[in-house]
Amino acid sequence: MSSTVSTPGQIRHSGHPDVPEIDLAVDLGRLRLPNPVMVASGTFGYGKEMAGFVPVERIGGVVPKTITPLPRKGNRPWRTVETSAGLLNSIGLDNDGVEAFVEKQLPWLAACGAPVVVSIAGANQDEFIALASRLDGVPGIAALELNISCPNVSHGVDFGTDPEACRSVVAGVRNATSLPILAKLTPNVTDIVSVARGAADGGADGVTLVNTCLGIVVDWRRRRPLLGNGLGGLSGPAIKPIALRCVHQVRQKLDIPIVGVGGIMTIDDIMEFLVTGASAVQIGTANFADPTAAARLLDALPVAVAEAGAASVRDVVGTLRLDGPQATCGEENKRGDETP
Amino acid sequence: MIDVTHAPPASCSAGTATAEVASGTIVRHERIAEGTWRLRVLAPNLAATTRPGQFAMVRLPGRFDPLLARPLAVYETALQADGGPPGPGEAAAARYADFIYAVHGKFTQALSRVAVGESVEFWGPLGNGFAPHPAGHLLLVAGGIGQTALLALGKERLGIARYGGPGVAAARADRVTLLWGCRTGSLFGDVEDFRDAGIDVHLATLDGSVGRKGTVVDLLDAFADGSAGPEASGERSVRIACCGPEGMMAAVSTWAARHGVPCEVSLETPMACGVGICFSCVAPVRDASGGWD
Ligand SMILES: Cc1cc2nc3c(=O)[nH]c(=O)nc-3n(C[C@H](O)[C@H](O)[C@H](O)COP(=O)(O)OP(=O)(O)OC[C@H]3O[C@@H](n4cnc5c(N)ncnc54)[C@H](O)[C@@H]3O)c2cc1C
Ligand SMILES: Cc1cc2nc3c(=O)[nH]c(=O)nc-3n(C[C@H](O)[C@H](O)[C@H](O)COP(=O)(O)O)c2cc1C
Ligand code: FES
Repeated sequence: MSSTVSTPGQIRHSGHPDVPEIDLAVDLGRLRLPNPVMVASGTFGYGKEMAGFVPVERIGGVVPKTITPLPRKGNRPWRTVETSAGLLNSIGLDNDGVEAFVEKQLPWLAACGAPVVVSIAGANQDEFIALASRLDGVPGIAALELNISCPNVSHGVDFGTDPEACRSVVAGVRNATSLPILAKLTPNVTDIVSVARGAADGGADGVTLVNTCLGIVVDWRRRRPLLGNGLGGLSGPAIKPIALRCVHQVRQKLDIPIVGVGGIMTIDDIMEFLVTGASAVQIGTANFADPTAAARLLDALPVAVAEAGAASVRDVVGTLRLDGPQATCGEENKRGDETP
Repeated sequence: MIDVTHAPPASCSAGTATAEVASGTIVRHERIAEGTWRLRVLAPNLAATTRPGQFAMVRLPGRFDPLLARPLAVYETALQADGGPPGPGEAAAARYADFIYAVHGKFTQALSRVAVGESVEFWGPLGNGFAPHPAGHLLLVAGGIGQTALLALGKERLGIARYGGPGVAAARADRVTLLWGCRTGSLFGDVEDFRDAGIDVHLATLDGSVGRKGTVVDLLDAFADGSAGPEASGERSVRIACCGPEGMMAAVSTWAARHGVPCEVSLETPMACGVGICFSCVAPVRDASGGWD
């Protein structure tokens, strides 16, 4: 597998004359990834569990389950329930804490060679900063992803809904570490652009859009919510248009690199995110539906990029055209008469 | 610019991805009881390696609705499309896996409409399976569709079939009894599989249509007070292996604790991934402080 890895990024040599050579590398601020296909936090375990299914070393970036300063048990079961084209979860940041992660999980992942983007969550700004300082200089970490958007823990959402709190926590972390920083935002806000601007002002290298959408599933016969925690976060194809909309809005207003996540199941989904303005994507729920999804999608990428008429992934990013008659979406539509 | 350099992976999978999402042709698919179907799939890797109590994630190919695969216990394996599992001394590897499923919701309804000759996708074996405890007398206690996790266990313990490849050291039991409860008699399917294996079968139904009227706990009580058979009571080294709905397993565990009988349950918390990456399938385990872990 390592033969497909070269500088500057991965060049896909298929050996087939009809499969083109495509430069897959992408940049997220100070972070360069060999390819744009990452796996999303909480949907890939700590990598090891998936090693049988996916050549983990090929993945553009592995984001392990979010870690917190101390171990957390997570929420009561049930923790997941399938919905129409979606999955509602209330795992509740079940993890063994930062020390156990550094000692037991990170070494294996780091040895793999795939960039490791460590997802961290604190209950307050000081905890975020403490986590970032603890991880600064630890070998094998490519970047941090700040989970300021988990719907399953109290306070988690605050940083992700208040632009100033977002700016402040990102700036605090930026002071505490030399690692590149992605801020992972929640779609459960009125104005995603202002929160993303907070992250950019705080010094984030990129924003990850989006975490899950808050939801609930009830059993009317028993008159109870199905999840042990009541509320949960919705993921999967059901949220793709929302995630794509967030990417679109942020891309139209800000320069910050974007990692798109939400409902990606197929290569077409990936291309939609890239064209709309995401420089990289994360595969989440699809890993559950098909544990080989990340590898399958990565394999399909070069052909799709070539079909887009590009020689590199970077050339595809943000190429959505808003000048034609299809430009009937929201504020970008200057000709209101064409709005359906 | 921080360039993440790619040292050749050392301790990681490094191209050794061995687990697969396999696709297998359905060679047999029939209704065996009310709302209950049995499926035989060509699945060489799964069939050759699965151990009693393990399961596979199963999905229909080419569609994401339902979105996720569903866990189904591997009920039985077979060497041939119309045969049974390898015997304990046999070197040949099983090539077919059987599933029995109750039609319940989206997936199981769709599955019941899939014809022989079509295929399903699956990955496994998954889960721990039952621990290899020897027993004098092994009680298989099933509720509803829970028998699916127990047939292979009973056959292995009696030494009449082998699961998990040659050389797997299987624990033995001198005697195996199945206590199986369902809502009504029409839900029992392929009970003969247990009887043919030399397993004593005792059935209970809530409506009394078949077997004893009541639950498996009533069957356990009968077993304990001797009314289930002359030699049933007073034995040493009795063990319980149990699978069924949560409430039923709780009742059986309580019964077992009261009677000092070791009891292993096969939990069925809803699962999203089946492979240990989503942290869905936790079950509260009582800890010393009376809380849960
Ligand atoms: C390890 C394991 C092994 C299993 N083995 C078998 C087997 O051999 N044969 C078999 O018939 N079934 C088995 N099951 C249960 C089976 O996976 C579910 O019946 C199946 O997922 C139902 O899918 P569906 O799409 O038909 O129903 P859904 O549409 O998914 O479900 C219908 C309703 O049932 C509820 N539900 C879903 N899963 C469960 C659950 N696990 N427990 C209680 N309620 C649930 C849902 O919330 C929903 O309200 C097993 C489950 C586990 C975890
Ligand atoms: C079971 C589950 C657990 C998750 N855990 C985390 C987590 O620990 N940290 C985090 O930042 N996001 C978590 N997420 C959110 C995903 O990373 C992702 O943002 C979201 O699921 C949308 O992508 P998808 O539709 O492709 O799954 C979780 C999602 C699921 C389904
Ligand atoms: S179903 Fe057990 S961890 Fe996903």
